[in-house]
Amino acid sequence: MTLLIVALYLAVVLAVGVASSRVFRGTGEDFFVASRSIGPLLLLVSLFGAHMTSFSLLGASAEAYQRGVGVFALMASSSAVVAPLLFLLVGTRVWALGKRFGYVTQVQYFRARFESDALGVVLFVVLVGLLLPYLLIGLLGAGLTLSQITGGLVADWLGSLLVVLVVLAYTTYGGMRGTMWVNAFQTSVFLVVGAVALTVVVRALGGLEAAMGQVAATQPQLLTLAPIGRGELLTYLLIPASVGMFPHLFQHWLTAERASAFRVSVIGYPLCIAMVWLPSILLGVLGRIDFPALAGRETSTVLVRLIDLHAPGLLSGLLAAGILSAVFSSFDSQVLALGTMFTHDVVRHHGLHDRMTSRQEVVVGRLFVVVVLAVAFALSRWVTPSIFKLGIWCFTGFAALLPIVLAALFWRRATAVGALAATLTVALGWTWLVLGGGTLPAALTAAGAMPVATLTVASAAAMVVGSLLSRPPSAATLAAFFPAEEPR
Amino acid sequence: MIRASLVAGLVAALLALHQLDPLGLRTAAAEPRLFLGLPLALAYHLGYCLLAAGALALALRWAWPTALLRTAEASVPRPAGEGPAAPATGAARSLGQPGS
Repeated sequence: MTLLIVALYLAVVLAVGVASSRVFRGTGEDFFVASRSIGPLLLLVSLFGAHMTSFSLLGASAEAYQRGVGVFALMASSSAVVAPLLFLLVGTRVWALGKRFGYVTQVQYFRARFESDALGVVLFVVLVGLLLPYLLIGLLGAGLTLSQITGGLVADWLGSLLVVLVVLAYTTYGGMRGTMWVNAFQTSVFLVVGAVALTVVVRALGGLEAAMGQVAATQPQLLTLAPIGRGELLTYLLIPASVGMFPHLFQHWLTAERASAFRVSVIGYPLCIAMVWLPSILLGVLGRIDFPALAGRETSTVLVRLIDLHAPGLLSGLLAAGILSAVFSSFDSQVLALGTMFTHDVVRHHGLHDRMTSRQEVVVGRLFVVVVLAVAFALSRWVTPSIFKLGIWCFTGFAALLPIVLAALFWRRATAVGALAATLTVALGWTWLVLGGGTLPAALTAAGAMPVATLTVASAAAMVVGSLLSRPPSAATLAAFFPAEEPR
Repeated sequence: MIRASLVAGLVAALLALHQLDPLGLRTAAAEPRLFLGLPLALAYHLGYCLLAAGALALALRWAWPTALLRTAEASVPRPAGEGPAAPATGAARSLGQPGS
């Protein structure tokens, strides 16, 4: 039954992807940014779908299982303010520049704003490198879910592979337009499935108050904010700032038909976040009742185990579909962003397309995506951190790059040297902390303060110092990017 | 300037509500109180999300970059990868070759 529902769901996803390819207009602009024709509601659901991944379902419930409801304060309510605020302050401005100058990738904008090809190359490498852990979150989530829900019948590597193949199929067919319509469908699925799963489990446990009473009797600290340090709560505000530098969200911003489309996203985002995170957090905490002793990577399966215990069969299949929806909806946008970046920032910018036919250009772009996905797939067999930790490290890297886009948009004096210094600071710092096992001095991690704070401050400082020590941007660049504001 | 100050004040108030602990939910001795069946800490932050949506609606009124967006909407969009012929160097080259 479970497998049948999952198979049906995958068939529907492919069908929506293929159907949306029928409205594909056959131009590069339609493939990469849906001809900048997307309305308010589709922009909201596709942005939200592209942002949320198994991190918000499996990762959030696993973290809540261990640390309680405070995880909602750490990630959800901070994202509810920071993400839409960045849509308003950064997204609208990026959209305006994209429309005026025809940009489809971040690198195109930064290369032009900072007048530097070298910055473009470095940023391309760093952005692709930081996307890898984001891709990994999706692969791990899909693999774990399918393996758990089928009792090991579908091995986790096979689940991960399935995601790669399905996403490659429909992004190749429909481009951005197809991806956005599939995302709209998927976002609806995971919003509904979370609420249904919570209702079923809470009923099975005798109602919300009774279930909370059981948790309070054994693990009272999970129902308070006591396990969350002051420094941790403060520095977690920076984690959602990563939305300002995600390549796939950047590309989604460019799809809006009019600037006013952003209004719905700005107001609707906090509500969507609450709708997704509330069931995840509550189910994670309630998981303590039936599964009191999960540890390590096992905790990432608490949501699936709960559903499997209280509502096997139909709901298990639906939950798997919901989790796969969350995975697909961000994974597809990332895949499309990778292909777009490679085609525009490497192949076309460096003139390689002059030596290729259009068909060869497409094949090379797809090959690049396949290679990156193969690396992500290989890493998913090897990495051990939890989905939540992996997500936090990924978001830390992107958040620490935020000073670059803020400086590009709001600081006339910002230069390529500053942006390069900031990018390299983040790349080296992140690599040292994540891959090199580096640790920050105790003073910088007091009260649970997260490394994102140190990295972001270092990146901002590098941006400022590098800019002030180098020649200001040319008058032509300033005139193009900072036109005189008309009075309101 | 007034609008910018209003938005800054609004954001500061939102961040303060996120960080401050008016109900004593973060003290080690905090009891797990419930509100409408939900842990009070969770109910507080759920309410915070709703408040954020309202506050952001106000921020939209005060911080909407009207002039910038009007200029962009009035401009003829350049199709991706089909910008004008490349000028010699620097910003103009990159600006003129969006798809490059």
